[in-house]
Amino acid sequence: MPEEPAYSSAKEPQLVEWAKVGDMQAFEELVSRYRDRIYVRAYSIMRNEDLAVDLSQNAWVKAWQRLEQFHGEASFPTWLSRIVTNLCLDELRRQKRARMDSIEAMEEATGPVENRMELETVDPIEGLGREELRERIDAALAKLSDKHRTVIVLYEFEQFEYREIAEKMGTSIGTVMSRLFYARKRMASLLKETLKRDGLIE
Amino acid sequence: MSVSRDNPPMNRFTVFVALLLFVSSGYVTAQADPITVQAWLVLGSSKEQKDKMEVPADIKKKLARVFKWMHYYQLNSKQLNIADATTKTTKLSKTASIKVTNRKNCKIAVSLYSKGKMLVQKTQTLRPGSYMVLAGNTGTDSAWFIVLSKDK
Amino acid sequence: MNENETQLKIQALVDGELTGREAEELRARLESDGGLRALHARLTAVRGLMAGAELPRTLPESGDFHWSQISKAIGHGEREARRLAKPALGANWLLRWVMPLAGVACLVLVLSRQQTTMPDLNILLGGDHELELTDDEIDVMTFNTGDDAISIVWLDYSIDLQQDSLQLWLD
Repeated sequence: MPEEPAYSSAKEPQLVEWAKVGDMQAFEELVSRYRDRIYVRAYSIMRNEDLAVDLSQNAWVKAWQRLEQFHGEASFPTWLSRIVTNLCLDELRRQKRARMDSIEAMEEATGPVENRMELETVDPIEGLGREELRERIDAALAKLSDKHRTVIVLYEFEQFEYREIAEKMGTSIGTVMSRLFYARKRMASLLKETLKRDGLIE
Repeated sequence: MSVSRDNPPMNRFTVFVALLLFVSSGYVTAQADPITVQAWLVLGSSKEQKDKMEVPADIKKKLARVFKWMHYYQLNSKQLNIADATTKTTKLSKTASIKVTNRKNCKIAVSLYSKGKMLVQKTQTLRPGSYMVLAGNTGTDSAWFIVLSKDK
Repeated sequence: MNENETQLKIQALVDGELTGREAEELRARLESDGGLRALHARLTAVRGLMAGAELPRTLPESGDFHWSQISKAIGHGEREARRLAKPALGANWLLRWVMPLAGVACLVLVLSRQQTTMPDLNILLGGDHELELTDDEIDVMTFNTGDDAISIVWLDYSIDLQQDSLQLWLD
């Protein structure tokens, strides 16, 4: 009788070692464990289901091809997350969403006037569960431009440093800082709007 | 100034003829020695199977270094004495066989046949103490291996 | 330092990206500047809000289908890589020498009554390993240990291990 206890109960480093010598079943187990996580990362950046699925699949294929380069400096899902993030950034570069980007770039670049816009205070709301807050944050993220959403996802969720984000986005650290600052202001403003609209705050 | 007929330039044809003579004069001496190849058909399995014989320790050690199975059982083993530049065929199971060719420079070519059809051919230098392995899953939680080594 | 630069530095301080003397000077400024202190607090609050706030999602297709797409793409990639590993033809002037040399090699084989024909080996691996596959539908992976103690060709194919009892008897 066929059984797969070896795979489903195997620890991640063991699965990775097996996959490195060509064990597709071990790799399949890794896919099974982390596919949602990788998809979430792709979706957070792309905000498009089909694209996120495609880029996730591509990330897994690239991971298979580059397994020999994985030496365990980070955890396997972290390493994979970086691969899918890079693919998303490449895809964003290919796409032109000029209209939204240029409006926000103008807003971001209008200097002192725009930057004097207050960063809203968003206090913890009693009774607002973590899950609901996540949904509201997710809805607010969807309203950002690609550039601003990317920088906030890379910083807050992927936990890159400014320098790493600058490298990945092909820009300067100063630009990363500006975009992050603007993105945070927008997020706070959007969150406050939805909370007010829903009567959760005055 | 035209080229003299008495002294034509070296052309490609001349070069190749010279090369042909040079190579063919040396060819008869550069032949492969006869070799002895051992071939094992192995079952890798997580389950202990007391009715089967384990492979030699050295093979188990080499396979276990790479693969995850706990047990490696010898299903069949063959010894092939192969003269230079010749091929020997041997059956390892009802439908699987291998053809082994003794090539020059210590190289061997191994072709795997299943149900009369060639699946793959691998050619490499096989030094004494090294192993060539052809392998795959058996569909259950086990795998097949064809392990080859060459004696001195 | 203009106001914009200051705000970005406050952000850098909150994010732990400002260190050393610059960080110390800014902290000192915060103690006496209520406006900057408020900004620092708001940025800290937004960071706190965002921490771990990525909404979990489920892949919008079945796991089996997702895997089937991945494994197909892996197989296709490996077949492409093998196809591209074929040595490329050189410049015309090289062909003028290579083709005749190949003819010489054939003549030599005939002259020395070579009994086996050279197989059309269409895949050249690293070192002196060569691999030929006859069925594109069978996925294959290769692996060599660093010391070449063991070279492995793993086929996505199951051979029949059942022994021929008559053959065993004769053996």
